[in-house]
Amino acid sequence: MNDIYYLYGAYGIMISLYAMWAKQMFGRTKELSERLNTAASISKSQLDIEDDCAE
Amino acid sequence: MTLSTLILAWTYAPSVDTDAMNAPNAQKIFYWHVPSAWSSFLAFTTLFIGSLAWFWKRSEWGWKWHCAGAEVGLLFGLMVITSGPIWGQAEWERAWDWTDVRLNTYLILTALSAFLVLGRRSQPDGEDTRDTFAAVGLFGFVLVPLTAVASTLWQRSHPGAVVIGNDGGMAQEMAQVFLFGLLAFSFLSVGMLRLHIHIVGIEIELEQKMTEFDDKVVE
Repeated sequence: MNDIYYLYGAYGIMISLYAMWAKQMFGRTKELSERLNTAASISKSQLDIEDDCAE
Repeated sequence: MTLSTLILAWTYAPSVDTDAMNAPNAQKIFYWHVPSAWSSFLAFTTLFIGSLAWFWKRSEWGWKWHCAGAEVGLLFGLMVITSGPIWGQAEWERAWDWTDVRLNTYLILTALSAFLVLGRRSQPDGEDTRDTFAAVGLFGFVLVPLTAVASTLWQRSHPGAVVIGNDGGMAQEMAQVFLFGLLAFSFLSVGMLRLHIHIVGIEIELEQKMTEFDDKVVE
């Protein structure tokens, strides 16, 4: 039956959407982690500057 | 569990009667299509509760629920919007029926969630932005019960209730796989919502800290 290809197509698209979601979430988590590291290093250098000024 | 549903749908669930349906193989799209729609309704409910909590109490968790509901709702909405027309093409020989209320209200719901997701990314976070998007979330939710009852009240192309339908419902094995799918997708969507709430929370917190830091530097 030809309609089996519709079945493969529909599940193919739905699995691809899951994969896109997973990829997007992975990228977002990675970006968030990088931004957190940047924020941590900025606040550390700010603390160093404040210490220098206090001295 | 969702993959198990797929495997069970292809191996355990019997095919439908070839006299009753034009595309008996494509009918198996149903085992992910309907649970996806169910999951999207769970996400849209989260979006509605979050929007309400934001308006009512200016609640930070409410805004996180709003964002998570829109994002997860968009994913499942896209799954429904793409798989449905493929089945429609196989069964009815046309992908879409512009006169069917359920198809069109669901399309608008998915478009609204896309608007909310893309809008939040393109606009700076603030009370005005949140108010605008929460208002869309609140009024857009009206489409959820409307979509749910549409195929009963104004049935045209989209099939009506099939589990407990007027014609005696579906075969026992089909109902088992379908209910297992509903359970699997419910767990999956709750897990996704929790993950999105967590990530959105960290994003908002980080954004606020960076703004505070910028303000300090300017001072």
